[in-house]
This record gives sequence, C-alpha cells and structure tokens, in this order.
Amino acid sequence: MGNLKKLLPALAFGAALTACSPRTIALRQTAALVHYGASALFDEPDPQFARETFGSQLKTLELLLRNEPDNQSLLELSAEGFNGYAFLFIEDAAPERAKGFYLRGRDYGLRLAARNPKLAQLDSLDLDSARKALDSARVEDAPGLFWAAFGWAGYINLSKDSPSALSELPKAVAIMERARQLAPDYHFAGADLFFGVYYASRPAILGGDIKKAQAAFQEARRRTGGKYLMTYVLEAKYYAVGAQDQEMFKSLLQKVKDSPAGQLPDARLTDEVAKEKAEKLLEKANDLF
Amino acid sequence: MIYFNRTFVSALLLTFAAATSFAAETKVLKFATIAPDGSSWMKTMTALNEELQQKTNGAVKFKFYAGGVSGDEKDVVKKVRIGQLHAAGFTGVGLGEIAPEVRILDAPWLFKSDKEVDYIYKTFAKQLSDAIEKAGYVLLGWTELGPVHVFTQAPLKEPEDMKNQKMWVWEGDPIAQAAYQALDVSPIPLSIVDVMSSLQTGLINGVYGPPMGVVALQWFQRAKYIYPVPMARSAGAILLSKKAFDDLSPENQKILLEVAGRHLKKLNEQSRQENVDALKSLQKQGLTITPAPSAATMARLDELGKKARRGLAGKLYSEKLLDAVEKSLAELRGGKAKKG
Repeated sequence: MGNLKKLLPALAFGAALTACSPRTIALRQTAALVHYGASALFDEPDPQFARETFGSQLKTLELLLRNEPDNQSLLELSAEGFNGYAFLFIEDAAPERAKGFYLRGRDYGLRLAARNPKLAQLDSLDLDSARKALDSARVEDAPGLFWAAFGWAGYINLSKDSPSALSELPKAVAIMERARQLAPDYHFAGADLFFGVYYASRPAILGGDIKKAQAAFQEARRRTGGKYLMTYVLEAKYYAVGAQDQEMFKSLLQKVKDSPAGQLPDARLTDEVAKEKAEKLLEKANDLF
Repeated sequence: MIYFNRTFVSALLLTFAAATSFAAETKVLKFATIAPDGSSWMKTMTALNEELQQKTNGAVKFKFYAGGVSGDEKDVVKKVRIGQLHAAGFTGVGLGEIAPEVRILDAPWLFKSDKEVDYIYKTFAKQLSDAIEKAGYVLLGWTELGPVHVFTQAPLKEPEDMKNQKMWVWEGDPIAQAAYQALDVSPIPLSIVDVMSSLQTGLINGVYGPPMGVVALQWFQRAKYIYPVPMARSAGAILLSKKAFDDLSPENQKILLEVAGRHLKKLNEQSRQENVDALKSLQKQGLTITPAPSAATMARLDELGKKARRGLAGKLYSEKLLDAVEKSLAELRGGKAKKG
C-alpha cells in the first residue's frame, strides 16, 4: 500500500496542473480514498463482514478504472481484489463461479503488465514467444505478471476438463516463474507459495515433485518470517496431504489456529480466512488420509 | 392395548431395521486411473459415484486414486489381483495385461474413422466383454481415448523420419512397439509416469497419445509438430474385479452396471469432441500439424499396418479374431456391412 499513499499528493498536484473538470477531480479523489479503503478491507478482522463487503468494493474499483483505465494502482488493486475474492471466498463453495473472478483478476494483471509494450500480447502469444517476451520483463512488471499468472492458474485449476484451458497452463507457469525471479517477496512470497502448491498438488506423472514443493514452502516461510498463516494452510492442504503425513497436517493447521492473525501489514483478513480454512481442513482429515 | 403394543413394537423394529440398514457396511470400491483429478474422465467418475451412492442408498461407493498415484497400469493390475484395489480405468496397456485379445481395438493403423470404430465395437461387443469376464473382470464401460497422434520436435515429412527423433514407447506395450518396428524406429521404453520428467531432461523428445491425453498430461511443452495420421485408436475401459462385483447384492450389481453404462457412454461422446478441441488448442499454443501425407505414403502405411497387425496375431489376439475384424471393416468400407 506504500505506493498508494505516495500517489495521493501526486494526484492532487496533477489535477491542479491540468485543470481537470470537477467530476474528474472528484473521481480521482475517490480513487485515492479507495486505496485506503482497500487497505482497511485487507486488514478486516471479521471474514464474514469482508465477505459481505468485498464485492461492492470490487465494483467501485471497476467504476473508477473506467475513468482512469491506465491507473496502475487501481489495476493492481483490482487484480489482487478479484483474485483474492475468488481464492478466499468463492472457490471452495462455488468453483464454477470462481472461474470468472479468477479470469477478471488475470485480465487486470495482464493489463498492468501490458504497460511494458513487450508484454502487451501475453494472452495471445504462443508458449515460445511468451517465454521470449518474459525475458524482457523488469522488476516493476512483477505485480502484473504475478496476478496474471495467479488468476490464470486459478482458472485452469478449476477447468481441468477443458483442453483450451489446460493447454495454457505452461504459459501461466512461465509467467509466475518470471515473477518469482523478479520479485520473490511480492505478496507474502506468493510466487513461492504458488510453486509449493503446484509441485505438491500434482502427481509425478504431471511433473509433481514433493522435494521441490518442500523447498518452495520453506522459502515462502523464510521470506515472510513464518508470519503469514495462509502458508501453513496451503502446506498442510497440498504438501502434507501429498506426502500423506497426517501428523504434519495436524500440527501445521493447529499452528494456524494458535497463531495471532495480522502479524504482517495487510494480512489480517487472509490470516482470519486461513483460520477458517484450517478448521474446515481439520474436520476433513479422515477423508484425506 | 395388545394392538397398541404390537404396533408399537413393530414400529420400533422397523425403526431399528432402517437404522441398521443405513449403518450397514458400505462397499468401498477402490478405483485407480492415470487420468488426473478434475479431468473429464474423473468428472464423469465423480458424477457416476454420486449417482451410485444415491441409488444404492450409500451401500456402494468408489474411492478414487487418480493421476497415477497407484503407479503405472501394470502395477494397478497387480494391486487389483491382490485385492488392494478393486477397479480401474485402463488404457490399452492395462487391458493387454488382463485380456490381450481386446488389444485388437488399438491395433496399428486399423481404423480410419469414428464410424469404423463404432461399427467394430458393436459387432464384436460380446466377444470382447466375454474375454474381459474370462480374465476375472466385469466391464463397466468402454472409455475410448481417441486417435493416437505422434508429437515431435522436428517435422516428420514421412513417418519413417521418427528414426531421427528420440521417440518414447510405453514400456511393455507390444502394440506401439510393433508400429515403431514397422517403421524401423527404435524407441526408448519408459513407464508413463516418467514421460514428463524425461521430456524435461531431454531423454526423449517425441511422444504419442490422443490429443486430449497429451494436453491433460502436459506433454506438449517440448513438441512442435503433430503428425496428422493417427498411429492407432486408443481404447480404454473401466473394469471392476469379478470378485468385488460378486460381493455386491444382485440389485446393486444391476444399479452399478446401469449407472456406469450411461455415464461412460456420455463420456465417449464428449471425448471425441474434446480431442478435436485439444488439437485446436495445441495449434494455438504454437504446435503445427504437418501437411497430410501423399497417397503413396498412405498406401504404404496401410501395408505396414496390415503386416504389423499380422505380426501381433497369436501373441495378443488370435488370427481368427483379426481376420474377422478386418473382414468386417472391408465390408463396411465396401458398403456391404450388415445394418443395425
């Protein structure tokens, strides 16, 4: 959120200089306020309240984006918002619905990445050309790449019966690999978490690799000081289940239940949802082992 | 009063009976497949399983081991034999371990269209399911996997150009081996579980499979070209061990056969479309289907097919079965097939 705080005075200054219409100024001020609102949303301690309010926040973001289609902070928030909404609230209960939100998250991520002209056609490039284009990506492209890959893979994961979705997985993985190289700390070491889940959830026949999964989860923990609770939920759900280690499964989830939420900035809500997910997973332990 | 008591007691007994039947042990059929979780194959199995549980009031259900977690198909056959698993979705390789005759269905260059496939499955239905039953299994349904294409890094002008590629062959698959042999290609035998990692290390750079299978298993990442003429039609089937089947009540056996038959028939229809879609998606990802071969090459493939199929007679299926199938196809092609 730091970059968003810097944005506010810049926007006000910009508005003064360009003599914008009062409507535009008002919208831009609202846009800046929404950044703070969104921050409050990610720090929301009550998941139920967040579940109820998230949707309208996302619509507000889309409304503001109509007015400022290239505003990178709005794009980043929308990409994170739609992907987070799908992952935190929709996927478990209504996977079919979650697909659409993941795709919107992906598309905002792609729009954000497209500020680098070489990355503008990522969605239509074939695998080889996409890999070449990704070579030219810079650190500032990492958030766009991260959310594009996050949403894309989230959508594919729910569409394993679709040849066209499945054939795009290597590209989504290549994009996340690049995001990991460029900004491994971004979004609570999200790229490492992604690869932890990726390698742990796939059988060997599909390139699954329990050692790579373990290494990725360890790296994610190291980068967040072990304070991001969703890490443990994903590790239990995918790694411990994949390795059929029930003891580890239980101890990871117990840790989530016992740890305070919100140790990291903007992580309160995800931590609270992690606690909910941990509870549900513990109830399902018998089916998983 | 007596009346009241009797009513009361019988009501109590009824309640008790209902409770015991509800609590009666559920027969869990452990089912393995190399098809990944979430794939159309597994979605069909999940829907089938839900209906099965509902119609048998929870007396019979499947437990799934998807994505090859139970090992290659040969391992699965062994596990079924010792009762560790009860059912599986097999491709030709597993079917060949159980009832080799059935492999006539994926004999090299045998079929030229869906119509021919349907005709032969129908004409020889009883013979094929009898062979499976004789081997100690019950056929729950065919799961046709589709046309087997070859995927390579370099384009194949002629099928013999596979000699210059590091082609994979599923270890212990005499059918694919015979097709390669006909083309004088020496493939590298590997378990299906190791294909992905071997593509990544470069041990192999050419694979074969139905397009949807190649997409689902993500084998296309190193491939650039698709050879247009399928090497065979890949057969598949869902089989349940006869022992586990006999363990079910006659009523539940009937329900299982009906529910499975219906779901798997629908899956076959879907599979054909998915293979068409998968070829399109692969082209979108940068793979090229090489131009259709000349009439001379097609004629040569016909001859090679005949020879390869003849070479397998007596090893997998009988000469008599091969003759009968080829005769049936010749009749169909000549427009003399029996109707119905």
